[in-house]
Amino acid sequence: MTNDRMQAAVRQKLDSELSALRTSAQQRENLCQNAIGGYQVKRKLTVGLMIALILFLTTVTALAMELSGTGVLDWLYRRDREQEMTTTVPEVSGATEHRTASLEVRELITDGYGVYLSLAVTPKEEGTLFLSNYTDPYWTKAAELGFPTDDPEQSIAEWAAVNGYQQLKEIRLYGAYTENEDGSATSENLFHIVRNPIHIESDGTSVFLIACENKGEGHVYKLCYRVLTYPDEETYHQSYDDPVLENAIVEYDDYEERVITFTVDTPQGMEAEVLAEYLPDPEHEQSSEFPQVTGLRILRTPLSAYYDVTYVHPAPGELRRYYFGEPSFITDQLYDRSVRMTGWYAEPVSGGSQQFHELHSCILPDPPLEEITLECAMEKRDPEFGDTIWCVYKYLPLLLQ
Amino acid sequence: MEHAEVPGMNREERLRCWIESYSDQILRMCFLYLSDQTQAEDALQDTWIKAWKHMDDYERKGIENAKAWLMRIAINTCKDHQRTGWFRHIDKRKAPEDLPQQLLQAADTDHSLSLLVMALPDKYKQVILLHYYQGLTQKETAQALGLSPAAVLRRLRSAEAQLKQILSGGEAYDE
Repeated sequence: MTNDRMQAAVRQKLDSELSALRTSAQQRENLCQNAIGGYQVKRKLTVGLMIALILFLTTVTALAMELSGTGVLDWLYRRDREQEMTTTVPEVSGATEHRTASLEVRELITDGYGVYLSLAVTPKEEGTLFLSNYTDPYWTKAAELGFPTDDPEQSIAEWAAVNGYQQLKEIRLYGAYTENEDGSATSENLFHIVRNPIHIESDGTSVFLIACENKGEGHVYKLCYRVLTYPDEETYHQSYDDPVLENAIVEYDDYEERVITFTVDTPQGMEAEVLAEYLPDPEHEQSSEFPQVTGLRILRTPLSAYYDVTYVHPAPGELRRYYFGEPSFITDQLYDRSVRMTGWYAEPVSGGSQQFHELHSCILPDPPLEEITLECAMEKRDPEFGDTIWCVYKYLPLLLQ
Repeated sequence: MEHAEVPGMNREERLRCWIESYSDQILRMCFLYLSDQTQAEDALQDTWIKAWKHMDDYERKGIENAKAWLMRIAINTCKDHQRTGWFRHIDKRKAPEDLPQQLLQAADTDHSLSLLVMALPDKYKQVILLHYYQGLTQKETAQALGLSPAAVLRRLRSAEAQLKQILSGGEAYDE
């Protein structure tokens, strides 16, 4: 069989099999309108804000604090007051020194489901700013990652230029994995990193908040990293659809893989304070049409707050069809400097269904919150017009500890 | 039906022309890659967003084969979607009954090749979709995937045997 015949046969058969899968004229018009008019909004959806479920942490005191001029980051850096709170400083080994930066794991805790750590990356060259995986500094808004700015439209690159950073580097963090013969990969531990909150300290240290699934006591976690330098904007965006150029860019720096290893001692790791919880309550009736939250626990540490939201799978069938993927979560505390981290894993529950976990970190204001409400919302696609609409479907009160 | 791209079209006209011509092909390719209709539709939208955003590159580089350029964007968009946490929950091994309703209700209910392609490892799936399904040359396929043409050829050869068996209804084709 010649190559041409093979091509024709494959094309004919697949087109025949998938002939029912096609776009309508109205859908094509929507595709065009969205592409021309809304690509920035759409991009936000695709890289991390495919938001189906949003967590709003709201409080009267938080609002009052904001109005009084106390920022979120003020709380973050108020470490002196927090010194009485003990957290685990882990035994870390491996490549904590890189030619361009020093790495330090500052916190490491677990709530039983997730393992949360904060990784500080201090550049060795002044004027260098480290970002984490696949953050497009020319497109991503500085406010989205929690950078202190009054301009919600300011990009990270613009923010960096204003704040004296001449060089942008990426530390690409990932869990150790093994490549299989069939091209797939088996992961030893997945780390959830993309679009995490980043805290920038006065000496230029970037603190990344990271989460992964708890693999149990004795598991040796392997956090791998590579360092690369962001090119100028034009080159960077050219590389977006050009794997060859992307490969060239990632090799621009010292692209050798390095590994940090650590273990998590569960009893010690539980020394962080449990700030709030949600437990299923018959009074909080949740419709099966939407994802049903089954639990939430917020742990507070000197550097951050970590939480694990659990929910059961959203409604199956046609209702599910119009939603953007699975729910994920962000934190939004009614501040412009909202920060978030999403993670993901599932575990089977009775009845054969699965319960999903989202692992997050966020920053909570000081003084402590007096009231926290979980606002559950989904972003759904309008089945008729194809655009997206918000749907807040439930408010759940959290129990403060 | 493909709409002819006319020289002198402005950008919006060109995008509309592409959307009319290639949306269904891209949707099907993304579906085969991602094994999920909703994800495929999102990938299709992302593909057009990127195409619009990178129209400058298209014009500046004088790209001759628009389809190859678009399929390259689409396959990379699918790879991006695979990196998302959501994708980790998708079981790519589909049983016939797992296919979308509109496929199950279609006149042609034989989905053997689609199911086979969806079950293939990504590295074979990519070359089959781009080369055999979308008709890109081996060189264009190699460029789209960041591989050498020799590597593409090796992958094609490895996947061919399984394809031939399906296409011949269980019997091997003559070379």
